[in-house]
Amino acid sequence: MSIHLRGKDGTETTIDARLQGRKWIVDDGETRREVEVLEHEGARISFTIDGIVHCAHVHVGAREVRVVRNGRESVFQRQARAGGSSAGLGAETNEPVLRAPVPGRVLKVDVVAGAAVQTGDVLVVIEAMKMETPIVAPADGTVVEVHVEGGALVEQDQAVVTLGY
Amino acid sequence: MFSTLLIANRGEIAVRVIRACRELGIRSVAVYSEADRSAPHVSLADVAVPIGPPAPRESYLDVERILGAARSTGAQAIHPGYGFLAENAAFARATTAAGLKFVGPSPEAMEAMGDKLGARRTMAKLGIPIVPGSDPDADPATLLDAGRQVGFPLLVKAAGGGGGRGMRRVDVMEHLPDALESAAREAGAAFGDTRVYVERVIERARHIEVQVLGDQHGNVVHVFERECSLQRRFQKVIEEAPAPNLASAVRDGLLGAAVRAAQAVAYEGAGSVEFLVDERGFYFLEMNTRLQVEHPVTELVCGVDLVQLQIRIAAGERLPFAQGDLAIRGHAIEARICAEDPARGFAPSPGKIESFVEPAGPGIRCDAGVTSGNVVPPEYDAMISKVIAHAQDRTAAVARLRAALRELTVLGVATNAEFLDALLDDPAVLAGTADTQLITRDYASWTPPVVATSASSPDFVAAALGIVLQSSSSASKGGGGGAATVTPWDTLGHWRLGGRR
Repeated sequence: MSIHLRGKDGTETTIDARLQGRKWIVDDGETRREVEVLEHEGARISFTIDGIVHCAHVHVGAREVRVVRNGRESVFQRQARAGGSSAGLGAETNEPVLRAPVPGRVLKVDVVAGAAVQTGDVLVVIEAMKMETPIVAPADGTVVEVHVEGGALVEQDQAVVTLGY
Repeated sequence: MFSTLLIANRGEIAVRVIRACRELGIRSVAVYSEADRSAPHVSLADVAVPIGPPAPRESYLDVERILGAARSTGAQAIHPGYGFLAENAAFARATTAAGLKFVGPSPEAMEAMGDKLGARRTMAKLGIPIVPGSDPDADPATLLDAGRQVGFPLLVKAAGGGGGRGMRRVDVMEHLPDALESAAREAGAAFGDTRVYVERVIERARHIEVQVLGDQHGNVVHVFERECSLQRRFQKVIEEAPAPNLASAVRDGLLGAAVRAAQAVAYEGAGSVEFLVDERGFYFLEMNTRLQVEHPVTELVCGVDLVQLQIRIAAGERLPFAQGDLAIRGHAIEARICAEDPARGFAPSPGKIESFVEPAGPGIRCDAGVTSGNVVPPEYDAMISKVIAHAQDRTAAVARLRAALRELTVLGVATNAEFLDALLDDPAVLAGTADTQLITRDYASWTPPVVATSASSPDFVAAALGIVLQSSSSASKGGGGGAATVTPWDTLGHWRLGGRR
């Protein structure tokens, strides 16, 4: 099967993994490596690359894969297909939908739909682990919709406020 | 000695107290909120009683529910741990009124010392220098006046407890009203007390605290000092014992002042007297009338069990040693592992822990409040475990802790472990000269180094294998009685059983 991952450094890498007997032949188009899984228990995978043993803990999520090895975590984004564009990532335009940066509880809502807001205004405060995280207006604008109520639980990345600029 | 003791807390400290109970032959009673049903302290205790919804106010801060759990299980004593109700004199009083022993000082001593105002007055009377500051108050107007008098930069601090909750640094008058409002709100949520006070910031100071122990018979000893200067957002992140590079005259001054302070209030149990130390001398900061998060470093270098001693003292036993019997052996250093994401400004990172593997080896101690499969709830403190290293000297202890931090595996929630490892490589930290502002000054925008992705890196291969193994395992599960497809999953089973070596 073909696997496309994007690393934190932005590099997109595609490899082809093919089972041949007991070994996986992993090919990135330039180099072929023999990978053998020694043990797979829960999130823990021990494996060899060209005979050298490694061990990692891997969590495969819908959008990203997290790997912890030697106390270091690497996060890879799963890509639908190789070379998928990363449009919008570096764009300077402001997103109209402001999302919860952390999962937590809505402590207070300071704005209502229709309110005019200025850059830096606190719109909503979310509390998680006794820390307050304010959601502020990234630019001057008008509140189109407030999606949450005080006291509500929010997931990470859940829409909190929609702004019109 | 008590036969049953209730622990009014959660997480690693509840686990720690349960272990001490086991060793003393005491039946332990845990309490838990709905969010903590599968937490280690619940399964480890002899009895566990549900006390309500996840919100601390309706569970771990609810005095009536906790006393009800104590009554229904026949507990004779309550250990409050740290945080929650640990420094709440009203809770201590209610515990006593219910005919139970509170493991800690008398409510009077808590008010004299736990209440920041009372503590400052007592210290001033004893001739111990204090940091300029105001009385605690709930009235914003009074506090604004006080702020003007104390001068800037200043700290807004919670009257009801420590641990950085409800604390704000304010550099100019214009920011004081907002800081007072949010600090009061945070303090109310964390300690059930919205009163705050202001205190002048001492620049370039070290935070050094002295562990004290007092029994019911008037004996008081110190168990030496701890260096706790490495703090992020007023939260200690690395602590050690003994304090490095401390002039012996200053150290003697601190230890003596702490003992005098404890004696002045007939202090019972374990407590810590916190000081700020700069090149001019030291100032009393506050006294924590409870066990500290960082108590293990003292335990390791002094060979004492502070939690067992707390319980023995509460049961009326005498201190089993005199001051002269205590000595420091080697050096210990602790790292607080918090579920927060340094890549995203240290935002809280609650969620499910997929894998949790603690480091081990000579001189390594792990006090954890979670295990694999647990959910870190968003309602509580972000600290999930502590890793503590003990070695013959400071250099060896730091190296040992760094090695342990690299062995620690936490998958599913982000942690600050890599940040702490980087911090332990800082020249000032290695030299033992770090002050309380070091992290704010030099690590405000720290993010984990980005490692270049390469198809041949083991991390990348591991990620790819994770995807391959997951899809093949779900394929074999979903296959349901179809053709005899050979999946890598099946093949793997053979490898494991067959044993290649």
